[in-house]
Amino acid sequence: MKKEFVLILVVCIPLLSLGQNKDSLKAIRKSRPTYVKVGTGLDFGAFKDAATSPLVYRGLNLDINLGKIKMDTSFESEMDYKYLLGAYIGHGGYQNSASFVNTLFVSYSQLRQVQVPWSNRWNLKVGGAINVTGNIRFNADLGNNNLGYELFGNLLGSAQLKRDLSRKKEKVLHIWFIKYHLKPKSRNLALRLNAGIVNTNLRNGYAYTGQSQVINNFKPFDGYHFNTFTGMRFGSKLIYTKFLKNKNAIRWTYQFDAYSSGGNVNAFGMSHNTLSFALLFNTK
Amino acid sequence: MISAMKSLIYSLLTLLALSACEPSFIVGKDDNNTDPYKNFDYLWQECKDRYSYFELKGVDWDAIKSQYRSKLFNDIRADSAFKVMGAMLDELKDGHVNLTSNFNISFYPIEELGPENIRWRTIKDYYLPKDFYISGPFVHDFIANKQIGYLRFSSYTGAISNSNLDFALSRYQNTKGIILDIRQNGGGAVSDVFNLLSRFIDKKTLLFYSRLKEGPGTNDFSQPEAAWLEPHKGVKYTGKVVVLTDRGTFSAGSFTCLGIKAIPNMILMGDTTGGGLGLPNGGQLPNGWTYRFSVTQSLTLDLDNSYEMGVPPDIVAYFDWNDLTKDEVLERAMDEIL
Repeated sequence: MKKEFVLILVVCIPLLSLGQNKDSLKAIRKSRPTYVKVGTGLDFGAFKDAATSPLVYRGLNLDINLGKIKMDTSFESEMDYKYLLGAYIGHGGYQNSASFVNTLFVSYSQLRQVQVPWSNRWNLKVGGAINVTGNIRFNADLGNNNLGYELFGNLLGSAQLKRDLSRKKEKVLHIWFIKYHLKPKSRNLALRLNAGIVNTNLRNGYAYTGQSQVINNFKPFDGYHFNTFTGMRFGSKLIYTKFLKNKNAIRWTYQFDAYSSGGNVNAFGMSHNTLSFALLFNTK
Repeated sequence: MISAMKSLIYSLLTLLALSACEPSFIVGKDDNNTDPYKNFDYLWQECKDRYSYFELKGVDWDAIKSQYRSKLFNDIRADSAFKVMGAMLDELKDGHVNLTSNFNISFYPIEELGPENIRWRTIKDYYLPKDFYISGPFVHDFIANKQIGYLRFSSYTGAISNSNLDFALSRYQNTKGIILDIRQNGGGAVSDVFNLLSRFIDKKTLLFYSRLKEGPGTNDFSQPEAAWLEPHKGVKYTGKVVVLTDRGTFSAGSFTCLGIKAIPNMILMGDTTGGGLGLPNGGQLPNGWTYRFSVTQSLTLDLDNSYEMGVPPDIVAYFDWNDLTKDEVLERAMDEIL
């Protein structure tokens, strides 16, 4: 528990703007470029809910994501809403089952720059993220357990290394007799890693099914338990951002995210590999 | 410096590549398997850990394992393995226990514990008018010279609406009694139980208790939770109600009868019900077949769980199959009301 507390502090300290003058902070904050993100993509997911099946279900999802990003050299924050809708198949030895899954992710991250000595084209930021993920799963083959739903809340430590790939000056390429003019471009490639520090979840109890419907007092989370400091979550993101002349940007992201409930009984685990494309509209 | 940078990049890309997969240590191992022993053991263990009525049924589950596992062999056909596992589950003598595959469903024939206690054609031909009413799931009309309202309710579809019951109960408001016929009603949506019974009470009533399996031990249960019922605010019938049952009255039908035991103006008549008072939970085997079994116990007001074996009637009555022009159970109910 003590170890976790120290880790929480390590994550949270960058979120607080300690040691900076209030006025200068305000000015920086005001001038910081802000973007509204609208994106879509494809996701390959896998999950196993050991309470109802020993099989891993795998499937394809449609990804829709919206967000608000504030970023400059010294700071980056992102409020992200991501919705996945897909069908998963569990391949049993003799027969298969389908599970239709809706997943909603809400996350907020803040990263602050840490000076790196080796180059000004590299930018290292560290910080933290809060992620809340909810699944609603429907599998008609599971009878009274056909509807599964769970919530995961994670506080994550986060680090991002960004490489500036911009072309500052126009470049001319000569290929045989053809002359190419490569115009200046602003773009970067970032790799972000997240690791769960505090992992919580709201999961079914031992019997999986609750009895509230039988006693005429229906509760949607009947028999659920809120579990803290259990399970794990980690993920990574490879983000390529290209800035346009009109100050907007386009972004390609490959994201990996995996989380589990922990515990030996009724364990749940899920992973996602998402490739998405987003438009970033500059609002400031 | 450049080589250090390259190393860093390669390290990060390696890390990314490693994470960009389906990590079994997080998601879990895919236990997809057709091995008959593995599937048998998985099913046996799930039942052992979660089934709620071992003690009441007096089943020695370890002995059952030895008895049925020995019938398996490595190259056994899927159909035969299914039969072995289905037979093992039948030892629980519970209509809420099934093994389901694409080619078969195992079941325990609960209605065969007693005779079929209704012949619908007899009721249509000799008791109901030809133009009887159908209001949602209820077939109904006056019988016995309009002194009694008869309601046949054959399935808990979850479709009982207020308008169905308002119409039927308003119609029979001035009768001497109502006969609610749930013989051979195999159950369905438990919400219908409360919608139905709320029409026959005039004050908040404690119907029964339920407790949930909360651990692998035979007696690892939650504290009993009470099932209370508030009276319906609209049309009600608080006169005498006789409810007809038989062994085919199962699951939600048995829940109805368990609740009726706590309602003074309602009488159970016919044969003991088929039971099914445990809420079934579903799961899947490594080979893809699915199963279900009870994970709760329903208890009477004095915390007795034995009605799982069937809710007994207050008045025993049987249909006589030698005379198909007469329904003895219905006749006895009419006598009780008149």
